[in-house]
Amino acid sequence: MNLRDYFARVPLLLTMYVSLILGIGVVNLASAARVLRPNLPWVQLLWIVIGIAVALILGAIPASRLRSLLLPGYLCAITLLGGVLVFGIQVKGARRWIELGAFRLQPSELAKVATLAMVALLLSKRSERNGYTLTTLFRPLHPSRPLFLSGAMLAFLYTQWEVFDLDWLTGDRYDLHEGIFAGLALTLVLVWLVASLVRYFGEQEKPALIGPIECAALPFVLILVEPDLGTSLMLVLVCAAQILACGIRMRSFVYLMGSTGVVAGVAWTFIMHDYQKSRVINFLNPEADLHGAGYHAMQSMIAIGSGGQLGKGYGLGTQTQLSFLPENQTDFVFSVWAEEWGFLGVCVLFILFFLLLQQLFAMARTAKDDYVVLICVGVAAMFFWHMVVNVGMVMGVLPVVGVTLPLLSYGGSSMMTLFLCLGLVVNTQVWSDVEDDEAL
Amino acid sequence: MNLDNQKRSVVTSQLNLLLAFAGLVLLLLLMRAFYLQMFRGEHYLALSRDNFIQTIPTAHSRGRIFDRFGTLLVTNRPSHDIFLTRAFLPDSERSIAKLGRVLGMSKRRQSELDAALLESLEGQEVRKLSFAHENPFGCEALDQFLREDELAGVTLRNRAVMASGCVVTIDNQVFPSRAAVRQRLQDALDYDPRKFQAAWDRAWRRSRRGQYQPFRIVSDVDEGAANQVRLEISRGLLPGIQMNDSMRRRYPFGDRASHVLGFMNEVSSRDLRQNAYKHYHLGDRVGRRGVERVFENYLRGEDGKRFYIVDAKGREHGAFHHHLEELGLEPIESRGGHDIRLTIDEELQEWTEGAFLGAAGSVVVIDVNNGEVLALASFPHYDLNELAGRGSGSAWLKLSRDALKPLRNKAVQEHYAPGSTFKAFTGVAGLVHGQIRSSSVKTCYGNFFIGRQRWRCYNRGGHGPLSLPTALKVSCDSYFYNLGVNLGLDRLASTAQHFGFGRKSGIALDGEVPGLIPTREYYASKGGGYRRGYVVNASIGQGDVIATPLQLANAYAALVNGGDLFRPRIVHEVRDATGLVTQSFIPEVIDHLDIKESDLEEIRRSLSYVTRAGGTAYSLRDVEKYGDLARWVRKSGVVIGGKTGTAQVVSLSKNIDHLDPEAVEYHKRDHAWFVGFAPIQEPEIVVVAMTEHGGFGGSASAPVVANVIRKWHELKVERGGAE
Repeated sequence: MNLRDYFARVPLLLTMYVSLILGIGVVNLASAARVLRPNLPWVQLLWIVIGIAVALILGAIPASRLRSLLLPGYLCAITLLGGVLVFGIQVKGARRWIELGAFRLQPSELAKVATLAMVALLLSKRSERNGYTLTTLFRPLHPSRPLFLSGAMLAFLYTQWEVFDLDWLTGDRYDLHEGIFAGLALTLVLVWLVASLVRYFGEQEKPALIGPIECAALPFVLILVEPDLGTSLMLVLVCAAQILACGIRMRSFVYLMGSTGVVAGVAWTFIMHDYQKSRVINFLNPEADLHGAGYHAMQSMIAIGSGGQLGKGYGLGTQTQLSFLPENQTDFVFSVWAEEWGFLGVCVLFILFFLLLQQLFAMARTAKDDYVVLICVGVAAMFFWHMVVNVGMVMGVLPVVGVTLPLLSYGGSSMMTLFLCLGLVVNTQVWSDVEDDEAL
Repeated sequence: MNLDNQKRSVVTSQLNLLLAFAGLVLLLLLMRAFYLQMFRGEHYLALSRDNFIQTIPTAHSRGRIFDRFGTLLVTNRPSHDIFLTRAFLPDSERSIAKLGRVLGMSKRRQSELDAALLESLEGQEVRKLSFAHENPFGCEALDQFLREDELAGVTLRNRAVMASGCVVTIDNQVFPSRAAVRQRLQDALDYDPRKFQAAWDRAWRRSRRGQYQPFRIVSDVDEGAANQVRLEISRGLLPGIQMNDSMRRRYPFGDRASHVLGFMNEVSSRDLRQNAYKHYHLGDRVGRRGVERVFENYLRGEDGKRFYIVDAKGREHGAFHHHLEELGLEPIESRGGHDIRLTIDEELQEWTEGAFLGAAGSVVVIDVNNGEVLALASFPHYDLNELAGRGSGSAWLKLSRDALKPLRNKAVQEHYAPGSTFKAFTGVAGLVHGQIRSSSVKTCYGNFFIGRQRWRCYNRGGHGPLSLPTALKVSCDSYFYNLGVNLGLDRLASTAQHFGFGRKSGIALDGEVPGLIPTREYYASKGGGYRRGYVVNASIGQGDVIATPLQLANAYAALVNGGDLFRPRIVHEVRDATGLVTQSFIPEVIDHLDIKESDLEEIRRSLSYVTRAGGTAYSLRDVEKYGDLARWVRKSGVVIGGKTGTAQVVSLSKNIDHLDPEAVEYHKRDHAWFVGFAPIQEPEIVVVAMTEHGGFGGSASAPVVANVIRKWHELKVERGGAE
């Protein structure tokens, strides 16, 4: 396949929709950042160029080779997630970034893509004829799993023990307590590792070392303890969409949702005290506490509502230009757009996003391979949930969590994530009916 | 792994379901946008305008008050109030929690730190609080945090060897905590700590009602402290504290004419709910008494308004002015209050206030030819500056509890039985209704009978045969008992009403009481019916007859000027800020009595005998008793006419001589009246002095009146007779 063939295979409609949304994003950013950081749109454009390059390179890697690269990529992302907890810099109470010279890398963003792809791969390897049941979903049900889970739990408690008021356990002996917790957690994880390896090498038919659930659970926990509620939530929602696309039996689905709901509801209403609840909320979502979430949500709703039918005009949004709108280059870009372009602008953006989703689903429908279906669905879910949570937040129907609006918010890490996703999709389309040896 | 056909169909249906779900969610969100933008658009537009359009009232000064010659009596001075806004005050617990979270401290350490910080604030000399922190990650995190996000007052040492921990220092003067702000404010104001703490606590409690509303901590701080506070606010050391500059009243003469000028205080929240106060805001001051109250609308002026476009930090922004034009918001110029020129003569007022002899009472000086009040004093009076500044609340409370009722303007708000001063009007009634002529003679036997009921003349032995002039001179009771009975109550009342008795004089002062002249109708409506004895009492100004000192002065003015009753005036004219007269109050005759000029002349002549030999105020000429004053009365050539009066407060048992003040306890003593006018040939002023519980009018009040008339005469000569 030569370069011309390659570009001919890059899906045209998808590219068009993405470009339109990106165009809107840069134009909007130019207005949002005009007062405080006027060069921001240019930086964003640079990120877009880099992103396009990354996506095209990813697309050009032969499909089978890319699949074999997914596991190393995933492990790499997990390592970075572990690393950020130790070496990460702390900003406003959360460790989310690794400083690399002038840049700040947010490993959780990379982990989202890596996990999405890994889950797609793992799910596509096992097909259940009538959809997953609870037992098949959590298979292999192995004695080591409880060990892993309790190890993870203890590690979690160790990092954030103060939230749960464990003073009574430890008295004044800080060191002793830290030692016990860290040691116990490490031991359990090691035992799990050993047991799994023994099992893996001990049996004739090699079972998968980790199932899709664990594959998603590990980064989920690591991101949650940073803490970063928004990103970990995104991860879960994306993986859930992938599992749903594979099919899950209705009864199992109902059991799963029902039991989760009941346990969480009972714990929340009957067991936890108010101060514990507020601590958990503050812990999971420190931005809410530091900025005064109510104020931000209110200013955002004022910005959107005051836009009216046709908006206040480009560069004339008072909420934006007079800095009443917080974080207007990142989390609240939608409010800027809605204020300056009104309901008309909002409709245009919604239609473009829906067309993008519809395009991804069309690709999934025509795919010949489960892996391709799951990649398309996962990427669609990524766009969809980011958009829904972000827009729901700025319109005051969902709580304030730090989730960006895909393709519109400023930020290198999130831009890279999206282009990596698009690269995965392009890859599936380019190589859908091409054998590996026809590579460029 | 390729999909077989059966599996494919399953996947397709799942995918359609997922896409439908996504579409539905997007639709719901779009509906939310529709609701916000199309349905509630106007509401949010208004809210956004509230954000960036700031309305700042432009201050104006209240009108000043001058005396008739332009002496400044009331003016304004700058004043500074200090407020707190709950939402903007820092919270040390939050600040510590922030610090604690960064450092990785336990809850217990945090609360210990909070306590230590509070303690360090109590003891003034400890400004900095240091502690070692052994968690290297925490130290590093704090280092990062301090670079990124301001946490004022926290510094970090041993950065180089941070691997083994660090020393964190908190400057309690800068660290964002409420206690620190309070302490700093107290230092800047230099107030008594206990009082300041109480004021702070009160404001803090009140602020629960509105997080973003300013609540006043202290009012009217002096200029030096205000400058200090302003400096610290500008340095950002007092977050949540605001200072408001306004104007307050200043009275160059302190307690001079306090009842005429009146005072102001703050509008209450109850007032603000009323329509009359719709142009007032919380914290505004409003005239409560006297001219300040009656002429509130002239004096007040109007706040101007300016509209600014501001950004989120409250800084003015150059653009977006088209919003102001769309809303039609144009700056409104403030309008200063109008100045008022009173009829009061400051010098005469000063003299009047100094001349009064009793503990409580009032003096009114009125110009007989136009009804202008030249001086009006009520006693005890009070220092207006005390009611205008800090601590006005307690000053007011003290005054309001005083048994002598200093807050009451006794010249218009209090009425008394006019006593013998009323006899002149009984005499006039007799002349008008043809009952007597001035030469008619009646005989006083010391007693007067209706049936078996007896009234006594104060002269138990009887005055013998009397004509009207003599009866007035000696103030014979029997003569007027007789005349009253012959006249009948209603005829007496109708004449008295022509002199303004029984109704408000209409002076521009607050709380005036009407007094009372009883009629047959009055007794009929009161129940119990009319008895002939009532007219006997009424004829000598006792019984149910009551009048204010001002009414009495005005009635005498009509008596001596030929029968014209003027509306008494306290305000000459109102001028706007440029000095242009906007309203001028001209003399207004509100009643006239038809009476022969010769009869009035007769009455006037009779009243001049009062200060001569045999008259009830003859003692004014007693040099031994009154010294200079008596010499002036004898020699000046200014003849003072007048009438004494004694208003009985309680009926005393017969064996106590109620004319001897020393023999009776204060609250049971009679009120002492004296009405004087001068000069006798062509009267120009009437002076009324009422000394509460002063005993006999001739000794308690007559010298006051004579003294005032003397000063008036001196001033007249001094000013070359211009007045």
